[in-house]
Amino acid sequence: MASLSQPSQYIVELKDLTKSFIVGGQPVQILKGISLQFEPGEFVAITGPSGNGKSTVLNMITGIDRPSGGEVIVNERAVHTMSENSLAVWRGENLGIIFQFYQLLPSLSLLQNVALPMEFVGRFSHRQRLQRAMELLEIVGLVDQAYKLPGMVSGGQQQRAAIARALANDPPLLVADEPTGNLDAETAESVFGLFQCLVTEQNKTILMVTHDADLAQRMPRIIEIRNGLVACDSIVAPEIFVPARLIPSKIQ
Amino acid sequence: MIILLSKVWHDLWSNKSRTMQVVLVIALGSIGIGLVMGGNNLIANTFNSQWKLANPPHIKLGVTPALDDDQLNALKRIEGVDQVQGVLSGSMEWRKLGDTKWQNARLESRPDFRAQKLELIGLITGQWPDRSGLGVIRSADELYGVAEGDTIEVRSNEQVRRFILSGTLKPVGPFPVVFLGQPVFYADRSTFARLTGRDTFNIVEVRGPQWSRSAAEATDLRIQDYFKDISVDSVGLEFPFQARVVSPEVSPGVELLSAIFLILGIIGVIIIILGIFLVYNSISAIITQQISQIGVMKAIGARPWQVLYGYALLVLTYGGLAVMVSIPLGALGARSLQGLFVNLLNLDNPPFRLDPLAVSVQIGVCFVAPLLAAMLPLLAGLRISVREAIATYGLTGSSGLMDRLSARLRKVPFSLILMVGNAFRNPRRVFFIELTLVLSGVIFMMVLGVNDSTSFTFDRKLRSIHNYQVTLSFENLELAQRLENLARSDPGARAAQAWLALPIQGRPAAQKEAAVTDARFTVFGLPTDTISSTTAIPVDATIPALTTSPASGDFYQPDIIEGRWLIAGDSSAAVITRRLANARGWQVGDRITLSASNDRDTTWEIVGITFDPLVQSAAFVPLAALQRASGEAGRANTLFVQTSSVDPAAIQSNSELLKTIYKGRGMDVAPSSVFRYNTITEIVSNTAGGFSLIIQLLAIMAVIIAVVGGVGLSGVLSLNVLERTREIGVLRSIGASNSRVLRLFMGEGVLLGWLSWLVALPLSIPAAYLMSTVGLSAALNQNLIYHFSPYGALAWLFIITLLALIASALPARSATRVSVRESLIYQ
Repeated sequence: MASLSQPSQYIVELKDLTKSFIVGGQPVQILKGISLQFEPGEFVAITGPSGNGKSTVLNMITGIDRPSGGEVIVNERAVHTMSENSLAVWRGENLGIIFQFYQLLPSLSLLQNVALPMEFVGRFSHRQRLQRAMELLEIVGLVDQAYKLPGMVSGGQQQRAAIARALANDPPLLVADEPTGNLDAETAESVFGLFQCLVTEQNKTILMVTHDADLAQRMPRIIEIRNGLVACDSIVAPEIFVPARLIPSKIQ
Repeated sequence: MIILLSKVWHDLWSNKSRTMQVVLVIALGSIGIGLVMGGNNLIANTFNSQWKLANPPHIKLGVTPALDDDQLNALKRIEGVDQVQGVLSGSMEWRKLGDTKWQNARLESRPDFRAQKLELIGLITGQWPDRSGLGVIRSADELYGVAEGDTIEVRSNEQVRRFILSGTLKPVGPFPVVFLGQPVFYADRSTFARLTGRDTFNIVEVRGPQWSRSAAEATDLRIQDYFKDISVDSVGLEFPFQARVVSPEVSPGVELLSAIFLILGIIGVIIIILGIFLVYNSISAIITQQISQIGVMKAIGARPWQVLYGYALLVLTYGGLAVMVSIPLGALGARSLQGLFVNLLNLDNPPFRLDPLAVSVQIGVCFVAPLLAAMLPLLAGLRISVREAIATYGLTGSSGLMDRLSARLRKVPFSLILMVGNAFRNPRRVFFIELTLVLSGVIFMMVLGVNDSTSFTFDRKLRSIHNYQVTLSFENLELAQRLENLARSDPGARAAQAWLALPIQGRPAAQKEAAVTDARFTVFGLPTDTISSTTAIPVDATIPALTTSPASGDFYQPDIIEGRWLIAGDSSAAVITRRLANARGWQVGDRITLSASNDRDTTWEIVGITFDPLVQSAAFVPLAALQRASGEAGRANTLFVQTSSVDPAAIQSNSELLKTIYKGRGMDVAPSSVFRYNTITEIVSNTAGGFSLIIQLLAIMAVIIAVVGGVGLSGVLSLNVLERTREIGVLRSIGASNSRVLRLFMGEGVLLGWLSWLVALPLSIPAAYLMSTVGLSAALNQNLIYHFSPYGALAWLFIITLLALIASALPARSATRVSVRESLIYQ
């Protein structure tokens, strides 16, 4: 069933999520039973050692990957049951994805990259799309670079353009996989500030995978994924979640 | 989808070399088809329209003996005959005033050029022929160096007369001037009679009130009955297959053209198929390159049809660009082909026009073929999940069987392992490029093989069969021994042999009466023992007799396909040519009846079947037996002479000297021999005829195919380099110099090229064999012997190596110019 009959207070629900991959001919279970809920307007950091399932959790939420078991409910839609085509449409309308390596189309200008999701969804007229895209670029401080190709701007500017693209169809949920992983500290800070604005001013829900302990520490909720399980969730046990615990994982 | 359009535009413009390659590959196939289809349609239309303008006859016959006016006029009273025209046709010797060398020419006349009825001849410039002036055929100036306004000398009956060429004439319909090998002059009737000694019509043209094949054939039969009553023999004359009855709606030459263009058309289709493979490869590579972009688009909401739309638009844009290139070039090619045939056949050059059918097909090829080719890789790309499509940082790719095998190798240099593994990394792409290169190689080597076979058949083989240097024919029968002895007067003559050549009608022995449908061919009587004549004939005492006459085998050595050649002691044995045997269904052991012009029928047994590229339909019998059968004991009319020198100039001067010798003895030497030319040099150079034309056309297609193969290889290697730009960066960051990287990629290209050559070579041999012995032989109604020569294979090996080196060097070189950092972040 693609959608739920009863309204949910959560924007994202993960129920006993499992995921296995075949590596070298052998099955490897990456997620061993993840259950999480996210409310609208949350700003969540997902942390943990490399290879322990953080990005996999995000891929389940975005529908980029399918779980081996369990359920993924996003905005009252059972994402794990949707077809590829339906997922593409659904993502355009409900989700904004921000990748570590920006993933802007190299042959389109920043303005066109930002407007492209609106064209896919079929929202607004062409003129309105460009107008809205320009507004979004203004929000991220890139009006002057609107007509440049991605290859002509810095990494930070590309990432900000990618954020603007993620906001193109005004989705309630933004998912970011290591959005500052490829940026210098100053740029990372500016991107983080942007996220904070989106949460506080536009009530966006942002789920962000990060290795940056400092950034994670500043976020209202931190979830640690370790060995395919939720090792810690600051919302459940905020007193347990002390900065010192993150130091060993950062070293790892 | 306006923003997607921007992506399409950028994809086209930002990689101009790739765009050019894909467009060129599509365009080449379209040009090939446009050239062949357009050329065929334009030429056929030109043929037919000008053929109709000539008011062609329904029946065209050569008659022996020639008809006088009364006999010709009597034809008009035959049922089914509406128009009759007699033509006087013969040969003459001529030379331009001031020249020393005499040449042969055809001489034609009409009763009244101003009142022609059929197969019209038009006056282009100047005046109609009269007592003092001859007309000359248009294009004689280009081909033979003689034109209106020139003065020529004509030699006939020991007299030399001068004529001014007072007019330029041209048959209104198609006329194969080039294939004649000699110019055509036109004379009024009285001049013709003075020059040839004949005032009668040896060609008869008849047209009925309306065209219908059955009616024309019925009329022909009535004409044959009349000819039988007046003891006249007739043969069909219509080009190219000597038909008696020919439709006035469609020029007979068009059938021949259709066969030629069919062969070219098949090659054109192969070029299109190659183009489809290459477009498939190119689009696959583009999809592979942009797979992460496809993944991102799907991640941000693109539906499959939206992604498909963008790439389909890209492919259609390639097609549109190819249309813009290929239609004018195809039209130009078709026009050039049309011009070539117009010149060959002395037609009027029609105004330029595009052939609508050819243009339509070209447009279809440019749009439909690439779209079909692109569908598979497009759909495959769409099926990949977003997760797989979004590239991670670092080198991607899986290992294949080749990699797993080569991982075990210890003593082979790693760079060689890497080169071989890289070359075969993408099996599907390798398959298609190899298929393209193999097909290109097969066609290219096949064309060269056909060329070698043609040269072999009409030069080496012909010379091995016709082992003489000079041949003369005589208007009257002469004493055979005298002919041979007089040849001794030429110090350059080494040996001579006299034959008797007669036009004959042949039928199965079981058929009691002769019929108009009997086979008509030449029968050659040749010595089968060491004595040239069976009776002692007084010879000229001033010329010492040749002590021995060489066996005929020294002069003529045809290939025996079945049975045997003639031997000493044969009296009623006959050997026939393969074409005659196939046409009539005659076999070794059959008995046939030959009817000479004196109506004496003799029966012969077929003991052998031969092949000779020069002699198409003929029979060979013992000289003495033929002399007896024709009542011409000791007589001959054909002479073959072997000279001491084989230098062409020496042979030519021997030929002239011999003619002078015989004429000095009162013998009437015919202007041309039974093989049309007097020296083996001229025979060889003129006999290939239509083959040289078609080989030129095949060569054009071979060049196009070679370009397609080269462009395809270049495209694939360019894409390989582009895809592995990150890999190049990694190699360079761990110590590989630029030259090492260059060698790696160039080696890959050469490996692919050589592999295709190895596969193509054994395939090209049967292809050349079939094209030579079946395709072209059937199309041109000739016999061609397949002959393998390594030059075609070596030429293609050289070409493909060069193409591979160039194709890989340029993109690899540009890749090494990018910095390591940029290489590693390339996506």
